[in-house]
Amino acid sequence: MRFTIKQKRWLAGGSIGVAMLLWGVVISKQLASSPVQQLVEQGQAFALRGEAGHAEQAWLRASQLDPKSTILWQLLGDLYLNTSQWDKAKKAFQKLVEIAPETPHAYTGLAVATLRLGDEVDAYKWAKEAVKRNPKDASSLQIVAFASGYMGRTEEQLATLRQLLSLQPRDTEVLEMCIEAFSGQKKFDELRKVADTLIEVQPTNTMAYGVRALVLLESDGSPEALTAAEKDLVHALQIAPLYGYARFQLGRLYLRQSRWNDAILQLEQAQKLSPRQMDVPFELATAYTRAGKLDKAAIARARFQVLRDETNRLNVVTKKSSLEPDNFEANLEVGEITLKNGDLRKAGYFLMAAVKLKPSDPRAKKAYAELVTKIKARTQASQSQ
Amino acid sequence: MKRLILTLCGVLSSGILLGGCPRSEKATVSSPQASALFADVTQSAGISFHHENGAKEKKFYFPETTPAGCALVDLNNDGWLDIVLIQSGSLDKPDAPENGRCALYLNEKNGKFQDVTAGSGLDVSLGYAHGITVGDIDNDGYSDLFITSFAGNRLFHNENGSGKFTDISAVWGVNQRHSTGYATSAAFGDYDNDGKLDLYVCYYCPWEKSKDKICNGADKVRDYCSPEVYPIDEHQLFHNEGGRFTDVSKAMGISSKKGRGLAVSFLDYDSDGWCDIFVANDLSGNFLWKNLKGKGFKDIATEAGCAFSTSGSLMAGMGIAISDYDHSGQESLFVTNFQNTPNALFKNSGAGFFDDVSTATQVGPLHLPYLSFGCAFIDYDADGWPDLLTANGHVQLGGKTLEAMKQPKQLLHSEGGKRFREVKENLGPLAISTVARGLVTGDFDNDGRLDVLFTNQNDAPQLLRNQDKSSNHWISFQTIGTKSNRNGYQARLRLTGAQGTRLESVRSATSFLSASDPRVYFGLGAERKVEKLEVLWPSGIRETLGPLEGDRRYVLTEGKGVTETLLPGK
Repeated sequence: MRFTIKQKRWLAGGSIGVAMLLWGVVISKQLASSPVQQLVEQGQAFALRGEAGHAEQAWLRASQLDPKSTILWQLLGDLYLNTSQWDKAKKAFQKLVEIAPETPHAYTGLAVATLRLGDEVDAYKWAKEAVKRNPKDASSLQIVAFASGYMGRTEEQLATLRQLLSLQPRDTEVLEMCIEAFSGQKKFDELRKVADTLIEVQPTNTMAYGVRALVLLESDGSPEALTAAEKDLVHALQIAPLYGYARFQLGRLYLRQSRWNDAILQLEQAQKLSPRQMDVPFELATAYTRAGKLDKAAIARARFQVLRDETNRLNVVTKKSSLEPDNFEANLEVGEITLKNGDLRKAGYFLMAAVKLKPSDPRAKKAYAELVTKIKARTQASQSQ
Repeated sequence: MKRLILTLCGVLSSGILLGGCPRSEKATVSSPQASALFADVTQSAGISFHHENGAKEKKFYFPETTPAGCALVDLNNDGWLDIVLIQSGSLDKPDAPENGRCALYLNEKNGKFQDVTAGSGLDVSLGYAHGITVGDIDNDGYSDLFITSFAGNRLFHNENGSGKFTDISAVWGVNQRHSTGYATSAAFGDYDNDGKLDLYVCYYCPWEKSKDKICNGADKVRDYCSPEVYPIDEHQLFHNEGGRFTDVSKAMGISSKKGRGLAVSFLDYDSDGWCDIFVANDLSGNFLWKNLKGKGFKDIATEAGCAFSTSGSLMAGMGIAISDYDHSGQESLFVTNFQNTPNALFKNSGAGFFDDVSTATQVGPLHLPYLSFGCAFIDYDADGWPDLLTANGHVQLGGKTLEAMKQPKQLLHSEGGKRFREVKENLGPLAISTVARGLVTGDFDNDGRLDVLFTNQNDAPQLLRNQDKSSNHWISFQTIGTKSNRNGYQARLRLTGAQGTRLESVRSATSFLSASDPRVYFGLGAERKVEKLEVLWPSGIRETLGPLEGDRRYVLTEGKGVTETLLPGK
């Protein structure tokens, strides 16, 4: 069962003005009354009203008048980050780094923009520069942690997360990041501690209970551990009855305890909640088999096989597109499969590549349009939370 | 900004159950040789072999990641185990005369081995060899050798134990290639119970030097490719017609599925008298070929619960070990896996399916720091409960050097068949990191304790003598078939004594690319004798023997019971 950290919002849409206001004080101190200052203030006023386009125009005009103004490039960089214009943000921060590399957050902004453009390797490089300048720069540390994990530098990823954890031991977002990484690396001892802390900080955090149960299931497996895991999972389900992951793990747990019908009950519900998770029908097939429901077992197994084959195919075409970046069909196929799976970022990366390779291809256009629709829906859902 | 990043990570993350493959803590405790569980006697035994896989040329040819295996078997019927070490060489010129010359060492019965390769018939280029399996294909009383190789598999006939071997690959029809792929492990077994050994050959993937892919690690540094960039291959099953093998892969259903095969073993998992075939596949579901009474095979691994790891995850199935590790009367399967993914222990329920007990027994969690290939159930302290040993070493550099691929071996002690505990003390040479691949077991000095031989990539092998000092007793059995195949492969030995009843079978191949001594060994703990031994031969002949004194090796001849009894040292 895959589950990801709850989606976060960050300064989207109308909240641009908040960032701009913060900068206003700094700007007024550094810029004397001048055409540049006037343009900055105009842009600030636009930003406060959420008119990002007008703010951009004002600041660009100001930057033409004073191309070496670090404040302007920072304002522009932040604006582009806020409005998801990653390429422009990257260029703005690159300019800032050229002019004044020691500007606080210059490398951080560059790292964020680069990461959003899908270049984890360069994002890692810039974040490392930021950390070099400020070892306690939590944002950059997070990028280092993420990108090093992506690059297969797992030891560095874990070390960075441990550093973050020491800086922010009770920060729920850091704890959740640690859960992602420690569980991926099966660092069960640390995972257990992180889950315990998260439960202390957020007693209603269902993921923390789910993870603690996972640790007990995967690293111990004794009857006592299974009992404790069951308690955690039941508790998580009392908080969030539709938490599919807990249903799934509870089903697995009951399988271990040879409670076939209890397992079937939980796994059937997990399947309804997460119909595209291949591990659910896999375990369900086992439960049906043990309960003597062979026809149902065959159906579950067939469902598992379809999803398993799809995942296998995804792995193969992802590798193919990595080896042959100009292979349109491979990029499109990865994009289509990941879109279906709800992995919108990965879908975006590959569909964009496909569209660039064949801009008029109807399949690529159709998939890309579907991606845009899904991103909008997700953003709306995230904002309404 | 932090929130943005977390959003990214949330979207990007592959989910809590997926992840990379970290290199983690190692068991690095070493001890003086004298007090160690095993002593490295490679040099003192006169073994000077050094394996080469061509990696030094830094071309990152994909097949370099897998070889090579070895055999620890009695080739001249003198009761002492001999050694064959497989050489790979260079893929640039696989057919070059000096490339891939294996080594044959005969046991001199005094702790030393003699290199008799020259003039043995094995002193020829084998064209980047990978694995070996051993069996008496013509029932003449001497075990023959089948060696898998990139340039083409080879079958060598044992000339009456003289130390000479004749290449009969073409005559016996095993030299045809069905793809550009290369074979890895192979096993002999008699699937139709006709008394003649048949042959299963695993294939990994089609590969040609001219079509080698260039892969980089995630941080853009050149590395070995993941197998997924190459297609999956079909495997081969050969039927022994007497004087010739016939490829029956299609007729018997074997070519109906493809898998990146790395290890194979024959076992009768459902005790129906027809041996089935288990295949460990790398990043494709394992096969359990159910034998349809000699008329065909059907893969039922998914239904039986041994195709995948936890919750349907693909395994990087590398090696196989089989044992009645919990004295349940059923033979269970152990399969090695990639680093940071659990090795799997599939417990045979006896009802036609397997339960994944990897976590409950701890063999899964304990394995996570290692990438394992060869493996064996080995009751190293003869307490009656088979322990687990794995040969470890990475397949990718991960931006580092070849040196970084090295890992120590792992020994898991069985705690009464319920759980396994990692042995961390007195490991001696087991704690030395190598890029290990092959692992075989056998009592090479006939002292009543099982020894081990590892093969290591670009390194010397490690012949490790068991130094267990316990007073535990043991018993072992060599089988000679008369109506059944001469080796007695697939004979099922059910031993009853103070520790209850346990089952072990005679087989040609387990582990990875390798062939262990097929003699069946039981640790007896404090038990000095066993009450009863039941032998079920593949022919259907059933014999009941006993009581039998412990600390002896018995030769069992089909239909004649015990035909020889040997004391330690003999």
